[in-house]
Amino acid sequence: MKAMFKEPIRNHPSVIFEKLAAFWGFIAVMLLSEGFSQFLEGKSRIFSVTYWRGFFYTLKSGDFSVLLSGAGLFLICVIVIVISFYVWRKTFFSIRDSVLVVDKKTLFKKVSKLPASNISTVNIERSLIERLIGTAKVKVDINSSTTAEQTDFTFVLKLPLAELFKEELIKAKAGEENTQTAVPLISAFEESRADTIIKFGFSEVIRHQLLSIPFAQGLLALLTFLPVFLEDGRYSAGGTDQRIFLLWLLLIGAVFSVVKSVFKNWNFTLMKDGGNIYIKKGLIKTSSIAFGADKINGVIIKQSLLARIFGLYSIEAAVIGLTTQQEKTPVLSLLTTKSEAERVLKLCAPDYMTSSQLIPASKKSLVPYMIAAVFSSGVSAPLIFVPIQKTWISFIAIAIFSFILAYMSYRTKAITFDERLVKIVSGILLRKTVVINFSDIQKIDIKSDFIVKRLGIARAAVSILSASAQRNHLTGYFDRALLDEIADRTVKAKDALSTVRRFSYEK
Amino acid sequence: MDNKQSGEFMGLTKQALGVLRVTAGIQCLAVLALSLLLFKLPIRPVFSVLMILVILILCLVYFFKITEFRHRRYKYRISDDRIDIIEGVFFVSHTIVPVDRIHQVEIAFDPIDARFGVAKVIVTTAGSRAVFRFLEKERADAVAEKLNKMIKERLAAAQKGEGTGEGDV
Repeated sequence: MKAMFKEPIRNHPSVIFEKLAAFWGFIAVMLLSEGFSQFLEGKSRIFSVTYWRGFFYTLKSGDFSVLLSGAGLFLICVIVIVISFYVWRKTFFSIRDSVLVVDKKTLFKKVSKLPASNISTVNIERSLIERLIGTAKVKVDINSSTTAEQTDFTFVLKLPLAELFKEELIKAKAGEENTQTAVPLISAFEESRADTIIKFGFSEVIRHQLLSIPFAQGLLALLTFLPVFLEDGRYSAGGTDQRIFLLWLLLIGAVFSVVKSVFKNWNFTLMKDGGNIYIKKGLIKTSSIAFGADKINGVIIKQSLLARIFGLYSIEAAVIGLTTQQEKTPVLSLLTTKSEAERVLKLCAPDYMTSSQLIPASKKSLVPYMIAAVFSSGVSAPLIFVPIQKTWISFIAIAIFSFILAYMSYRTKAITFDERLVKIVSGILLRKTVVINFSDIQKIDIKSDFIVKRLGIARAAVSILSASAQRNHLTGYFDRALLDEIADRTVKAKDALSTVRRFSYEK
Repeated sequence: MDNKQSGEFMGLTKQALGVLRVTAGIQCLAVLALSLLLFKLPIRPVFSVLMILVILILCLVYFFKITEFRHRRYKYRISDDRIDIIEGVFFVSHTIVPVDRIHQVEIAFDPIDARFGVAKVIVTTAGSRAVFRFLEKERADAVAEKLNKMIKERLAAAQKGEGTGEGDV
């Protein structure tokens, strides 16, 4: 059975219909706008020759609006199925001499050859529909910043075949001579003997999501809800109705978000076996993520405003070559206590633990923040002259809010570094602590302007190899000498990535 | 500052100023064309004229002074272990890229660059990129060549298993 991957095979035929999924959404919208009765009426007529004659005649005359009719959608649907079928029939893949070969013999011929040593991660993912029909997606990612936002190759196979295909890729990679730069892939066998580090139950998953609700969303809900309670007869009944409707929308959104998160993080389990980390989670759509601990490029510790009140922390990791579609930076731990978070870090990313004393932002940084506050208050100043009763209150509120924000921007920024690591702390509402190894930093931008330059301070944007959400990290304002020291240490640190395959420039 | 950083910062040539001026000219013309829409606003024409005059003065300052200042401010340096690029007028950015993180060097130029005989050298690392702008073609070639040589030396050292630490190049 294993030898079969040497011969080219196709994806499971279900991919043909999967391509239609996005199109179904479009059809649903059209149905809502056009009405079911009209659609059904069109459906009954589409089997007559006269109808199609008239349809193509209208199309020929340049009136493409008929494409939006029920029959038009049906026609597009057929075209999508035919094209998907053609692509499915002409796409083959195989593993030959430790090289993954994907051959598209369609109109745009393309043969992709990926040496197994270049593979970073292979993951199996199953949606609800795939679980019903017994298939699975095999997602293959490579170490590349250019394709960091998407999965490089996706194959759909029957589950047993998908697992075999994953195993074959792992073996092909292990067979490669030059494996010093690649992530060791993880087989199902290794996964079964891994030790559980942390596991989250139902209540902890709910707690995580409730405490992670964005502050802005909560504030908006409060602002919408408050006037309903403070109703003193000045508002019209219609206005109150609108507020209640908005409130419902927000509540439904929040509930949906919590439910979605509970389903997504259901039975969240973090495991470790030697140098490999495994994350399993999900109720309807289960996901199993695996990566080598040495491929962690940075650790992000997050605390929402509510989580800070309860002293809870969540941990994310920036990992190279891991691009599961929902999660660019895998969560190592949902919100948990400080001691548990430290234990997870110690076991999974001990290299990213530092006890260096945090250096708060320079007091001089109050100057640029306050200037920004004055500017934003100034923009709202015309509110004083608006001939509507008490609009000046809005100006005062904006001004106070701007100055509080400016002060908090200064207070919440900190930085520290030692011989190996740099730690950047930022975030007013969502406190984020980013720990990066100097050898993983790809670029530093020290930013200043004519005001902060005179004060001898600047801030820095630090770039690491990660998905876009965690690629750039901006510090607060610190003494320029301090940032220069960080830049010097970055330059002196030996590059953590491979020094062999990365150099691809040929003049 | 250690020895490796002590290389001289280089500035831009006069051709680069030409590119900056042409680009600024195109931007100013676009802004002035848009500012004509002010006549469509329900305000007295005299205010529209006054506002357009202010925009015109700002455009002239931008065209003659700001571009010159930007040209003067632009500096770059290639040391044994790092590249530095300083640019900007009001908001200054100092980009630092360690040489051993570079994995691709490209030379690119657009029609305006080609007209003035300048080019960009785009340096890509595994997770970022930096651009040397407005370099005359020969200098762009030399910069790309130098970086390429440094990369190859480090690659050779890595393949021999000598490591790529400080002082390798």
